[in-house]
Amino acid sequence: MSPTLVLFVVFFLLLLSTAPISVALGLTAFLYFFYYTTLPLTQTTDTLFNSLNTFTLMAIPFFVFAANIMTHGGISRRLTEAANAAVGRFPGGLALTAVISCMFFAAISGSSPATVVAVGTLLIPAMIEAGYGRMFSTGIVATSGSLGILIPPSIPLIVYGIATETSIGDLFIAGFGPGLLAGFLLIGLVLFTAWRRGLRGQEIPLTRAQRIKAFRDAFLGLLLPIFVLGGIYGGVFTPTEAAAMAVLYSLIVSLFVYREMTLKDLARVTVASARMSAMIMFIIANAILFSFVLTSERIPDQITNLFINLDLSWFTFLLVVNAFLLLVGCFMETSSAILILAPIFLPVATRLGVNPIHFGIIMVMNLEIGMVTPPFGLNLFVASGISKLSVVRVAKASAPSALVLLAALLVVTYVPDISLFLVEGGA
Amino acid sequence: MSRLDRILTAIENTLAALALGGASLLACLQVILRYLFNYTIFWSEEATIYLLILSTFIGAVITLRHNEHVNVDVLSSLFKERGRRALAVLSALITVIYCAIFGTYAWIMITEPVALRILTPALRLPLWLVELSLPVGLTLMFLRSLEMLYRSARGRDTFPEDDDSEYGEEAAE
Repeated sequence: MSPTLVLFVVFFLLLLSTAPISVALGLTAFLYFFYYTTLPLTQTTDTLFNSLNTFTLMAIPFFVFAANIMTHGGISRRLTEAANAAVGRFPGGLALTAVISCMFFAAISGSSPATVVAVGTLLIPAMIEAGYGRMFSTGIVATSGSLGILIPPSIPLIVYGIATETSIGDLFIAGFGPGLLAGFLLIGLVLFTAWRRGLRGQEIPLTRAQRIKAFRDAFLGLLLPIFVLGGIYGGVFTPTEAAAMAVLYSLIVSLFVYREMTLKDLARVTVASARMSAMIMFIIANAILFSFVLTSERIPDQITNLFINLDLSWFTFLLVVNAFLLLVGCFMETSSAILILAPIFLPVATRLGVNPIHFGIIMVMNLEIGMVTPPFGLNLFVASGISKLSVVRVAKASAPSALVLLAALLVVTYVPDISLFLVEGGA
Repeated sequence: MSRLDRILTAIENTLAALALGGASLLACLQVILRYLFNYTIFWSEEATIYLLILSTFIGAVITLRHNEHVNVDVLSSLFKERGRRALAVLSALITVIYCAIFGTYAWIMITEPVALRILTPALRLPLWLVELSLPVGLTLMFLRSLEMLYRSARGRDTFPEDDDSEYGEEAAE
């Protein structure tokens, strides 16, 4: 058997054993070093350590930290209130509020489960109380939360930028169009459902004064994406520094302006953030070790040759890649999937004339849909934790909105301008 | 055992949180100094990286303790009580093996001549010192995974949410 085949069989078996993904990745890589190379085995731990030795990667712990502070310091609540003030009076108002809050929150956090937690804990109970149905309420938040990894800043886009050496600033800018498209399609779905099921909006519409107040309260939160993204794109700071500044900004707002966080809360939030980011970063470290093995097995080259021999057009290639990534997205964790697959597929894509930035958006959108499909949709687990519905039922509830995301994916795949119109030298 | 557990937990939590907090402060300070005073702390990037690596490898111990490392949980939904328990033992055993192997080589790595001799470019710290977070983290993970193995073999709950459960809000949700 070829080493490649052995590797994948071992990896798959380890995954099935319900061992942590990070452990499965790392152990498979170790076996490769042990049986198929003469390299010193300390090379494995050396790679594990040095895989994280990049300043760009450090944006991830900072964005996780910032998102946690915003959730606990009252910023997300105010964003939700502002969204409610804007769209609450329309039919299905609370669900519309949920989608728009997710879009806001996605624009200040880089993570999709964090978005589900921030918006879901506030709005899922409120929607259920308003008679929207437990299934619909949970499903719409689980799916809208996945916008978190498309609308910048986004952890998976950072990971893609590192894996393929493309500009993270460009990737962020390119995420806007597709993120807005997906968001508006979800809003359409909510309006349709509201019309069919007769879901009401607010009983008593807010007065003009109340609405202005809601916007003014949320102003500091709404300013954050402009500050972060403007800073990155204006060349004021790197994505990592921007993420650190987002921590400082949300900290100052929570501690001194809103005063909803005490120093004791801060200590807890810091520990919780360290835990959350360690979980992601430990997977990333092991995934980089694993992809090191794939590269030394020259697997990217083999795949490139395979596709060249198949002589696909870019149109069919993207269709094949989409189908494959959707499947992978159901089974693999986002960051490790990107680290392993981006270097494999990007060479083929660029040969066929696909823009690397556009390809990154396609990859992330596919894996985003994977976050709301079983068995490995992280958002499903988080949403099920909030609404106390079983994961299977949350998956069923998310199906219609996942189909909407799929439609958005097809449009984004074949209309590159939606991603590239803002990117310099793109389009 | 429980006393040791409490002390270890306190140390892990404090270390992971301090490293994350410290790195955040340092990175912000660097941006502010650069823009206001055109001053660059030449070692800040390196220090930020090493602090966050420390936070990662120590934080990974805490996540292991709470059994929060992400896994693909397809099989256990197909099994009943006994099968699930067997699967939990198997996955804990694999984790023990992982920590044992990587822990061993991590200790070997930092005692190699290269690690003892080379200094990091900016901070001028010996390489073994900054790399220490990996073997220490993996050793602690090894201990935690042994505990997990023991618990799963005895059929006990593998999600110990005890004295520090208050820290768990986020990931436990």
